[in-house]
Order: sequence, then structure tokens, then C-alpha cells
Amino acid sequence: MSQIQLHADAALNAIADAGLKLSDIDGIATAVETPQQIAHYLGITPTWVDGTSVGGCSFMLHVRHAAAAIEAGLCKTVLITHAESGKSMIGKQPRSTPPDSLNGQFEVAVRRLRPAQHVPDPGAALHEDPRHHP
Amino acid sequence: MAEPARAKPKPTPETQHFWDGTQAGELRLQRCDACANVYFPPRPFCPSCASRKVSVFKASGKGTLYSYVINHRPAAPGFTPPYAIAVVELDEGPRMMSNIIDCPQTPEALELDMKLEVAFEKLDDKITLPLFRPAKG
Repeated sequence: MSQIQLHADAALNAIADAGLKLSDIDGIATAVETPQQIAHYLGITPTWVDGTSVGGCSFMLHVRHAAAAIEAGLCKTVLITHAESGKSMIGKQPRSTPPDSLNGQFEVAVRRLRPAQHVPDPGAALHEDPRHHP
Repeated sequence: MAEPARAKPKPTPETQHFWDGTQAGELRLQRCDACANVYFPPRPFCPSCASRKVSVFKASGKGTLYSYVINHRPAAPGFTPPYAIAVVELDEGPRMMSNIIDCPQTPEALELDMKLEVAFEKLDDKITLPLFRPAKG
């Protein structure tokens, strides 16, 4: 499953779980992926988006921003999504860190957590993902 | 086959002294001439009082293990999991992110507050990384 499909899969489950319909969603917030990508993929035309991306706490800020947006009347129902295809790497957004940025100089060389952006053999990656084993 | 190389830092005019230092076997920090604050990463002003009068000095290279995480996820080129990503608290005050070498990458071996010393790992003719190892003696 690709990264954006992981977003969509979680979103559809959450919407069903909340007893809502896709068409109820008029606000979208996400990080790493962009809210416009998620909106296009889900077929939603939101009146409000938030792409705040400040690391792992982005989604808590999304909740706060969403509450403020609803309070201000900018939208009624906000979907906040996150997903990472961190193991299979399928459809993973590249995140490049310029080597002369602060992170490039003082973090990436000692902490590079993310696997290489490029999967040379997507078939091999598929087989590494236990979800794809029969 | 040679192990693929790590991502390499690229110095800027503001950080060149630091990377020149690691190449020369010195860990160089900066101290504010106005308020004596010692800070890292390098920049030409004091992040505490905003003074632009700052000096570079050679740090002791000694520190303690402030925190760490052991990465088990598939890693980028140059890293073989599991490996620890550590925050080292330098004796001069600032904390820096690094790796701990010459030490099993296990919670048993990585004891918080353990004494560390800098170890310089040469990546190429321009870049040498400051890593840390358990202090001797």
C-alpha cells in the first residue's frame, strides 16, 4: 500500500467510525504529504486546509488549528491524517536535507533515520512488507 | 563491496571553523564575549544575548551521555542498525547530537551520564565527524 493510500485507508476508517460521510469533510490537515494531495485523492473540496509541518507534534497543532477554524466558522468538520510507508517505502515522499543546512551539517550525518528515498527494486520492497505476504 | 557512504555535511561560512576543527582533531565551540555563554551549533552571534562579539575556542572534547535512542529501522547508507543516536552533554555546556562508537549499541552498555570523549571519524579530505566513545580511565 502506498503512503497516500495509507492516509486514505485510515481516513475512510475514521470517517466511518465517526458515523460521517466523505462529503461531510470540509477541512483537511496533514503534514509531510500536503493537504491538497490528500484532498484531491479523497475527492474532497475543503474550505480550510492546514499543512503545518513541525515534526511529530504537527498533528496536535492541527487539532488546535482545526478547533480555532471551526470556532471561526471557516469549516465544520476537519479530517487530520498521517501515514508513513516507512517499511515498504512505497510512494514515500522524498525528504531531502540540503547538506549545507543546519540539519544537514549537524544531524543527518549522525542520525539519518529515514531509509534512502530511492527503492531500486519496488518488487523487492513489496516482499519485505509483511502485509503483502500471503 | 565498500559500505555506502554517509550523508556528508557541507560547511557554510558560519560553520567552517567547526569543520576545520574536527579535521584538525579539535572540537571547537563558541563563547560569547559579552555574556560568556557557550553554545552550539556554530553561528556568528550569541543565541542568549544576541551579541555579535563571539570567539571560537577549543573545547575539552569531554562530555556525558545525556540521552539516546537506538534505531532499529532500515537505515540510510553508511548506517547499520541497530545504532544509537545520542545527545551528548559537553563539559562546556552545550549538547550535541552524535553517535557512540567503541561500545555495544544496547541499553545495558549505554548508561545515562556515562563519561564520553570525542572521537574523530574522517569521511573524506574535507569532512571529519565528531563522534563519541566511552572515556578511558
